Amino acid sequence: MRKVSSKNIQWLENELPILKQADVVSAETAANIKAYYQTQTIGALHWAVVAFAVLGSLLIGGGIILLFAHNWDELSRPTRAVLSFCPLMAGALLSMTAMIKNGGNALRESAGIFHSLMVGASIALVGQTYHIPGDAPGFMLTWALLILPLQFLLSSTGAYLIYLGLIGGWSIAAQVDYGQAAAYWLLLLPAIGKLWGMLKIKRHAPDTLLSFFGLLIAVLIAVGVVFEKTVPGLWIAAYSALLGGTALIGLRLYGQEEGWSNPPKTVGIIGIAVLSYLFTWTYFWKEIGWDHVRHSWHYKPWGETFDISITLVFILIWLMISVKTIRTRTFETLTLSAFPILGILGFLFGMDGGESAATVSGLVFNGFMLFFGVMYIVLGCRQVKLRQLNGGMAIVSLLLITRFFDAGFSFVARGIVFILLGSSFLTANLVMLKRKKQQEVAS
Amino acid sequence: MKKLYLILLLGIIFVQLAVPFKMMYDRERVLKNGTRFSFKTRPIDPADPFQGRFVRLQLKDSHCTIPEDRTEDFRRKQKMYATIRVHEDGYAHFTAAGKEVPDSPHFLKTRTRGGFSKLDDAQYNVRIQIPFDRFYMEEGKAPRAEKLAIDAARKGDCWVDVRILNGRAVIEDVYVEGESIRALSRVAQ
Repeated sequence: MRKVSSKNIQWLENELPILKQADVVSAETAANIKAYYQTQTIGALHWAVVAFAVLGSLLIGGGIILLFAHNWDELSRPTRAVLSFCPLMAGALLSMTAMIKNGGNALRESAGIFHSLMVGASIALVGQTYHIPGDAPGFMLTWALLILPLQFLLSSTGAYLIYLGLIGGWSIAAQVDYGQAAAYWLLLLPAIGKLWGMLKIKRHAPDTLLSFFGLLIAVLIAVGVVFEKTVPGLWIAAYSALLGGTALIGLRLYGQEEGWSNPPKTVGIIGIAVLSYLFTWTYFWKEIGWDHVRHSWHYKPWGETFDISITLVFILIWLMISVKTIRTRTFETLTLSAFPILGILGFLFGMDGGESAATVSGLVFNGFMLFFGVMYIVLGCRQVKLRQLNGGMAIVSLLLITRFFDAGFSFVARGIVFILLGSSFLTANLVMLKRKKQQEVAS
Repeated sequence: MKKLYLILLLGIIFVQLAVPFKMMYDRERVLKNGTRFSFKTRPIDPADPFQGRFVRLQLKDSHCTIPEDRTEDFRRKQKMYATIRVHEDGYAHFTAAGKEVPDSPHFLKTRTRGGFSKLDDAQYNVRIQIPFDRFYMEEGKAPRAEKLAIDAARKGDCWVDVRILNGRAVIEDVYVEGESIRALSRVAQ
């Protein structure tokens, strides 16, 4: 897609009716031109401008918060009351200017970030003036709800990310203070809706990609925080399905794009690598399942049902995406679809399998991680993608180094497996070289 | 469309202004019309990244006794009302705990802290979460104030004045050996 700045497109859209009226272009041509720029181009962002605007508003916003935190106690209560409203008014004015002037990305982002921060500064200053006790979840929830509409009205990614950060912070604080943060999922819905809208209109735009990264990271952290953890090990099934599903969504939405251009695939693959590395240890497979349900005031009675429901939602999403993507039948798709199956089976067998089931699951994931790494080495070589090749090498190296020092297996077993693996790599290498030479001779 | 967005933005800005305004209005009402109580306290000094330095107040008396048959009402973090009475020493104490608004006009609306503990066969102790445990001070003064206050607290001469109205409490000032902690920390510079 061509990159054209939104200001230029707007200028052209204003010009078209004039040209049409002057009979320079026909109505049909004008409509075609308009349609072309709407569907075949994406906005060219001056990233330096946006980045400096964002940094500027973040720094000024943060600076104002710090200045207020100094607490000028010579100031009287009425003065402080007036001061409390000042930052908020400044933020509001900036937002209104951005909206009235149809501001570009830089102005909208600055307004979104600055306004969002100033809402927090205002509430914090009132809290400071009246010595309101440190109710962290209450403070963050009020702040998050008050800035929730800004991400929609200003189309500001900064405001979106601040909102995600605040509800994430709320979930941690609420879990500590109230013992549960189930409402997190409700607070996340507007953020999912916003991303959904962006994906429909501008899937490849930089702000959509950034928002996607933000949302995925927020959800990955939140699952760990918000889960009631009543059933030990249920997280294995939940995270496996979530990460497998995420990587597949990446393949479906962004195809073979990689790295920053494919947030779900990147997050999914890194997550799968980390998770399968953890699962290579038998420790994670011990004492899991319903025989070990936790009971104490920490755990809510509804926690079990709630965690199962969340896990089932993740499994359902992964199943739906799997069915749609598996038709391509590439190695990568099949492996990413299979990861949650292994995780869920490991959890189910581990429930009453005891020590032996834990060992089997650990071994299975050693195998899976090796396969996962080798697959990306092969794919990287075949498609000449250095990132994949390096990623695959990193995964395999990590696994091998860990197992080399792992005292859980005997020296003999480790020695034999290492020699066998080394031999198979060398054989594969020789076969590939031979084939390459044959191809060269043939051509 | 733009007009609608602008109206929505104005609506949100109104709500954003209304929230701190309501917070202030409620506290000002308590400070103006609330009854003043003095609680014996012991202060320590931590910091909050958004609101700055404060002196954390630990009330000497932050619990109530309850009979054994009512322990179920006071699980961890449950809403509760604590009745306040001023003793002969001039300081306020919590005398009763309940799930409903008490008949006495002087009470605090709060939550239980960590559940209850056994005092003897018939009596249990319930810890009260104190909704006025932070006293914000100017950066630099708070650590000095803490030092002064700890010395005074050792002698048993540190207290916090609080106004309470309809269960809500707002701090007026913290006193060390009869003087406002703000004034003292300024002198100690």
